[in-house]
Amino acid sequence: MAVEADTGLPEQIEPERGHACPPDWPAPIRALTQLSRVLALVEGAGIIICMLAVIFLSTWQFVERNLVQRHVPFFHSPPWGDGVIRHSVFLLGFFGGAYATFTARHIRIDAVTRVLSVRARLALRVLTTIAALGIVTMFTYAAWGFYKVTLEEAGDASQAEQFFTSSRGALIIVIGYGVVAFHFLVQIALDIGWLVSKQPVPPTYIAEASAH
Amino acid sequence: MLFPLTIVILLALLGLPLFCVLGAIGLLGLHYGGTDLSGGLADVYRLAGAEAVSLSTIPLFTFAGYLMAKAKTAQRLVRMAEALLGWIPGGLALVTLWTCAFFTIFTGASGVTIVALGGLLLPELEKSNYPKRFSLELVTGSGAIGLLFPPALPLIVYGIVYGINAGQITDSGTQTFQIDRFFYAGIVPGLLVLGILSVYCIAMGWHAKVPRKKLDLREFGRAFWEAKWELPIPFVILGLLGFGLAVIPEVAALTALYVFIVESFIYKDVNLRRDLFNLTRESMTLVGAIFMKIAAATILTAYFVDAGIPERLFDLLSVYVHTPRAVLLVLNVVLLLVGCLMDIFSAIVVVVPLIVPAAAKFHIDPYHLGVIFLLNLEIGYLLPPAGLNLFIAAFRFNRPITQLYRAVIPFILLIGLALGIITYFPQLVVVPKATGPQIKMAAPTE
Amino acid sequence: HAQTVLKIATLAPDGSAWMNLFREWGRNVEAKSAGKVKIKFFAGGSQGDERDAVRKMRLGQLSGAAVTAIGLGLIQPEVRVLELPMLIKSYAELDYVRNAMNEDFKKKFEEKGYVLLGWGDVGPVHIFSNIPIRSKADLLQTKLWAWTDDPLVKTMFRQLGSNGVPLGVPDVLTSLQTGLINACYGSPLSMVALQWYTKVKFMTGMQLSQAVGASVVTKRDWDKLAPDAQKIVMDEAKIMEKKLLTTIRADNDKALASMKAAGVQVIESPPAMQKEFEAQAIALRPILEKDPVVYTHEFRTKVEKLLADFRAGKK
Ligand code: NA
Ligand code: NA
Repeated sequence: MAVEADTGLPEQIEPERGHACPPDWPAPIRALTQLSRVLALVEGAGIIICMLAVIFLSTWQFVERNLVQRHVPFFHSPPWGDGVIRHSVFLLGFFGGAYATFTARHIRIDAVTRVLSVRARLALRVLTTIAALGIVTMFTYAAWGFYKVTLEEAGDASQAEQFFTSSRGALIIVIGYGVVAFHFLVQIALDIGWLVSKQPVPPTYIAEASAH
Repeated sequence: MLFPLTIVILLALLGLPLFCVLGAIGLLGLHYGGTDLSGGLADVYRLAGAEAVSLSTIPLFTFAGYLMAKAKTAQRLVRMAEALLGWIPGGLALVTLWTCAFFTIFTGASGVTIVALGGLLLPELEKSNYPKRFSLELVTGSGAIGLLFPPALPLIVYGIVYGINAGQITDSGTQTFQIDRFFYAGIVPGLLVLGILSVYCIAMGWHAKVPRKKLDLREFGRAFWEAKWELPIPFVILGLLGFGLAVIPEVAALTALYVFIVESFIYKDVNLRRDLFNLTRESMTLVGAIFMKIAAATILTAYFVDAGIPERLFDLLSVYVHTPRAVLLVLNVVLLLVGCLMDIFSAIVVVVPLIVPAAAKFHIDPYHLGVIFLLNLEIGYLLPPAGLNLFIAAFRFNRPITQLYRAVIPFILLIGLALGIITYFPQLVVVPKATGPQIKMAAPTE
Repeated sequence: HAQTVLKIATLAPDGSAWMNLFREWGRNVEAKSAGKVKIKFFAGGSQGDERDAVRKMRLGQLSGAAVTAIGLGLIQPEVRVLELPMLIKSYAELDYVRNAMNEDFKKKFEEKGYVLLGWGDVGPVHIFSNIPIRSKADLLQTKLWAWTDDPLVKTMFRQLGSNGVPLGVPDVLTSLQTGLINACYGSPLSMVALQWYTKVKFMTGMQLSQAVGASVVTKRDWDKLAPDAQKIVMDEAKIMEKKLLTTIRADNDKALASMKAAGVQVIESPPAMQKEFEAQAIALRPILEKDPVVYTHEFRTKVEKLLADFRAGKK
C-alpha cells in the first residue's frame, strides 16, 4: 500500500481535510468554520446529483435515439434534457471548484511555499489568500452584472421548456464564485487563528505535496 | 497596468492559485481597456453553452478513471501486458505510452488522460522498477500525442475553424483545404512522435534494468480472461463512434456508467457505501480545480480578444518575418505560449483566423500548418511554468510542481525534436488524395 | 477631436464576402467622417456566438453586431416571420416584403433599443441528405440534424413529428460521416463553407425558406454619434447592403454550381411533396404566435398579405 499512498489514490485521501478549528477558538471563527463545512457537504451532495443527472440523461438520449431510429417506441427524453446536461457539467465545475477551495487544493505554483517552515507558509498563505479573496470577489461582482443582463432574456422563446434559463445559469456563476470567496474568507480566518494561537498546526491542514 | 500586473505575477510565484492569476490579468486588462468586466463573465457562461458538449467528457472520464484506479483494473491490465510484452525492454512503458495516446483520442484532452490512466499506471510503473522521474514523466506526457489522431475533438475543431476561415469562395481559387482530408494529416506525424518516444521508453527500460519476463501465452490467456469485462471498453467506444450510434459525450457517459457497474457489481472492487461518495467527490475536486482554471482562462481570452492582442502580436511579427520557415518557427514560439495560457478550444478559435492569411501569403500547406499548430498546443500543456498538464499531474499524484517541471524535460525535448522534423519535412504530413471534382477555395486576400 | 469607436461582432470570418464588405464599410465610414468614427470588427465569432454577441451588446461591451435572423430573433423575435418555412419563395419576394416592411422592422428594433443599419442575406435553405427525399414520409425516414437552440426549428420538428438528432455545428460533419445523421439543412454557401457538402449525396430541390441577417447597433452607442456622423454610418451601410445582397446571392449560385460539379445531385421535389410541406407550414404559423411566442399575429398576416399582393401583381 505504500506506493499507492505516494500517488494520492482515492482511498488514501484523508477525510478530515478541509476547514476545521479547535473547540476553544472564538465563537465567530467556529461559526464561520461550521458554515464552511455545511457548504462543503452541500457541494458533495451537489456533485453526486449532477453526476447522476449527466449519466442518466445522456444514456436516456442515446437509448431513445437508437431505438426510435429502428422504430421501437421508447419513453421520450425530456425537451430540457440537453440544457440540464450542459448545466450539470457547469455545476460540477463550480461544486468541484468550491470543494477544491474548501480543501485548499487549487492548482498553484508551490516552488516557494514548499521550502518554508509551517508558520512562514501559513503567513504567506494568508497573504495570497487575501489576494485570491479580492480577485474572486471581483469575479462575483462582474458575474452579478452579467446576471442582471440575462434577466432581460427571461421572455425569450428560446428559453421555453428550459429548466436552466440563462439567468439561472448566470446565477450559478454568481453563487459559485461567491461560495469560493466565502471558503477563502474562512481559510484566512483559520490561518490567522493558527498563526496567533501558537498551537501546533495539524499536518494535513497546510501540507505541501511530498517529493518522493 | 504594469504595476498591478507585476504584483499578480509575484503573488503567482508565492502560491496564489493559478485560476486567480489568469482571471486577475484578464480583469485588469478589461478594466484598463475601458471594457465592462461582466463581458468576461459572459464568456465564462459560454462553457455551459455549446462548448459544454466537449467539456462534459472531462468529469465523466475523470470519474471513470478514479473508479478504475480504485478497482484493480491496473493490476489486471498490467498482468496481461507483462505476459505478452514483458520480454521487450520497456514493455510496460510502451503499453503506458500507447494506451494513453489512444485514450486521448476520445477524451480530446490529454489532462484527462493523466487523471484517468495515470493514476492506474504510475504505481505499476514504479513497482516494476522504472525510475520515479521517468514514470512520472511518462504518465504526464503520454496523453499529448493523442490529439493528432481522428476523431480527437481539437483536430476536428481546428479543421472546421480553419476550413471556414480559408474556405471562402472567390473566382480565383488558389488554395484548397478539405476537412475530411485534414483528419488524416496527423497520423504519420503522430506515429513519428510515438516512434521517437517508444525508442525512449525502450532505452529507459534497458537502462533501468527493468526485469524482463518470458513470453507466457498461458499466463496471458488467464490474465486476458480475468480482465474480460474491462478489455472491451476501447473497442466498444470505437464501435459506438464508428457506426454512428453515439457522439463522444454520450460515449463518455456510457463509459462512466459501464465502468461503475463493472467495478461495483462484477469485480466488486468498489464498495458502494464506503467508497462511492468520497470517490466521486474526490474526482470532481480535481475536475473543479481544472474547471476553475479553464473558466479563468476564458476571462483572460476575453481580454486578449477585446484588446486585439493576438492581432497586434502577429502584426509585429510580420514586420520581422519574411520566409515560410521563419513564419513556422515564430509560430512555434507563439503557439507554445498560447498553449500555456489559453484553453485549447479558445486558442483555436482566437488564433487560427490570424494565421490563415499568413499561411496563404507564404504558401504554407494548410495541413502541415494544422499538425504543427496542434502539436505546439500540446507541448504548451507540458511547458513550465504554467502548462496545465503539469498542474493536473501535480494534483493527481500529489507531487510538487517543481518536480513535474524537471520530470517532463526529456519529453518536451523529444516531442520538440519531432516537431522540428515535421516543421522541416512537410512531406511527413500525408493526406489522402482529393477524390472527385473539388471546390476551389481561395485564401482570403488582404 | 474625439474619436468614437463602434465595436461590431460577427460570426462571418475574415476573408468572407460578408467580412470584406464590412471592412470596406468601416474604411469608408472612417474616411468620410474624417476619423471621427472608427468601426472595430470582431470577425469569425471571436466574441462568441450570436447569443453572446447580443448579451455583450446589452452589457455595453459591444456596440453592434452583424448577425443572422437567429441573433436578430434574440433582440426582436418578430423578424423571424421572414424565415417561416414555405413562406418567402424567391429573392424578389424577399426584397419586396423586406422593403415594404423596413420601417415596421426599424420601429420594432427601436422599441428594443437598437438601430437597424442594413439587411444581409444568408441564402435559400434546402435539405441535404444521403437518401433521396421525395415526400414527407421520406424525410421522416432520415436521421435529420436538428439545431434545437432555435425555437422556430424546435417547434417545426415537434410539429413534423420528427425526432431530429440535436447536435452542435462542430459535430455535424463527423456525424454525417459516421451516419449518426444522414440529413441536414442550410444554404448552399454555408454547406460549402462548413464542407458538409462533402458528406451528402442529394439536395432536395424544394426551398424551405430564405435565411436572412442584418447589422444592428445599440441606441446607447448610436446616440454617442453626432447627427452628421450618424448619417455617414447609415448611408455607407445602405451602400454596403446593396453590394452584400448582390455578392451573397452570386456566391450562393456559385456554391450551388460547385456542389453539383462535386457530385451533389439535386432531387426535384414533386408537387405532392410541395403541397404536403405547404400544408404543414401553414399549420405551423399560428402555433408560433402562442406556443412559443415568436411573432405577433399582426406581423405575420401583414407579411402574408404583402406576398399575396406581390404574387397577384406579378400574374
Ligand atoms: Na462539440
Ligand atoms: Na490538453
